[in-house]
Amino acid sequence: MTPHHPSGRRTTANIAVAAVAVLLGAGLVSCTSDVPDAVQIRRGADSRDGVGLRLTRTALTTAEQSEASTFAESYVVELVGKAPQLTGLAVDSIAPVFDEVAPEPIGAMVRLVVPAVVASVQLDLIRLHDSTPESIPSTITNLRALDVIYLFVGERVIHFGIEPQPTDAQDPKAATAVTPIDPNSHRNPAFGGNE
Amino acid sequence: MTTRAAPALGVVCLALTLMVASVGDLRSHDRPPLNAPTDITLPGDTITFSTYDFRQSGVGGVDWPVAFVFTGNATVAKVVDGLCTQTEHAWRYCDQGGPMFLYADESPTVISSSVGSGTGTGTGGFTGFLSNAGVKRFAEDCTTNMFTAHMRLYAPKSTNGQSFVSATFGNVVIATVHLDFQDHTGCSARIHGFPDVAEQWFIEAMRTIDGWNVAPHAMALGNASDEYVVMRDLSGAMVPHVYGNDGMATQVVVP
Repeated sequence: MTPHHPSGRRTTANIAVAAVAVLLGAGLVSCTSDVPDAVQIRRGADSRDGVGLRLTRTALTTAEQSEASTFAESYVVELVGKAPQLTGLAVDSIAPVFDEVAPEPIGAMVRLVVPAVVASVQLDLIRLHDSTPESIPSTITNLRALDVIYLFVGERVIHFGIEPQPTDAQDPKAATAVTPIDPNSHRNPAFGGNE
Repeated sequence: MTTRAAPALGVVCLALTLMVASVGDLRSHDRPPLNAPTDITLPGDTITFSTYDFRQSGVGGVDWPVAFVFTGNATVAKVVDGLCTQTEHAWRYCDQGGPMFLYADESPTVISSSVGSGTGTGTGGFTGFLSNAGVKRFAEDCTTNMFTAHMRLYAPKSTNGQSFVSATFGNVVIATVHLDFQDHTGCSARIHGFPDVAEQWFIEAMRTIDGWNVAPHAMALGNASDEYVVMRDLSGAMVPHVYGNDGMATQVVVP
């Protein structure tokens, strides 16, 4: 292995190597369940998926993907209706959401992007406390993208917040920020502390 | 799968692990949905470490992928000082977070470092889980909230301070990174993750440190995954943890 990988030089050989890597990666994923401890990829005894969860399925089904897409489209319409500054908001990606108990995805996270930076907008952000989604009306500055987490059971939104950007650190003064309208009404030690 | 077949398969899997680690061109389209932590050894080296850190001092729930390998004359103290006092970036990382755990296994033999200006000799005897709380920025108090980046730095104590001692890479520190969105007093929502974004933020900070040589995305560690979210129950708050990274760690040579 060469520790330094020169950027911008993607040769045919590299592509071939990458293709081999895909096959190797697939093989690696498929053979992590029965290998002996001595050479084992380390994993928890209670983990079927190697990351400490109990998953038997790690991807969204076509039906779940479709449900998430339909939800996302309607949510975009709702958001733009409330905040016209978000006109042009679009779905960028959809990812599976798990909890620490269920063997399959419980929902989907939808990433929404705006076509241009929104200088300031007021939105009702959402967090989940125990089983109850809680709205946090907030002013968001320098908005570029949003994340929404949607649960299949109950068709509920349990998280709605800003999405960080790799470029934020290039100009920290222009990074996305959130100011709750009435922060003290949301004080809750369950969301505090310092992880 | 028969019991007798398992050892052979295990060897194949280990070989696949190492071969994946040796491929320097894994990109997003190659990512598996999830990626279990593996034990990886850097090329030509004897130090082994897990490609994710763990949420407990043992295998099980993972926290975040390894995204930085500090080499040369790195120690945990030097990296902490660099990110807090030496960086000229607007964001300085002078606060501490909560601890997590990385598995590491050094060679049982004595290693003399002869790379670069590394001069130390380590015992190379550590095996187990290292704990570190890391560095971050954390100033919110029911005011304006932003994401902050958090880096946990792992290395055993050695004769050089806190670092692995490698015959190939000198004094080595392994780091995982992620972003936090969390207010001290619980006035905001809360979410953690986005390791590739955190990696880029720390790259920006370290590029301003005099004498540090930052090689972004230089090491393929085989820990890439597609994006996925785990809702973790943390004292009643269901907190999203957003995974997904490119598997390419940044190498930083510390003078």
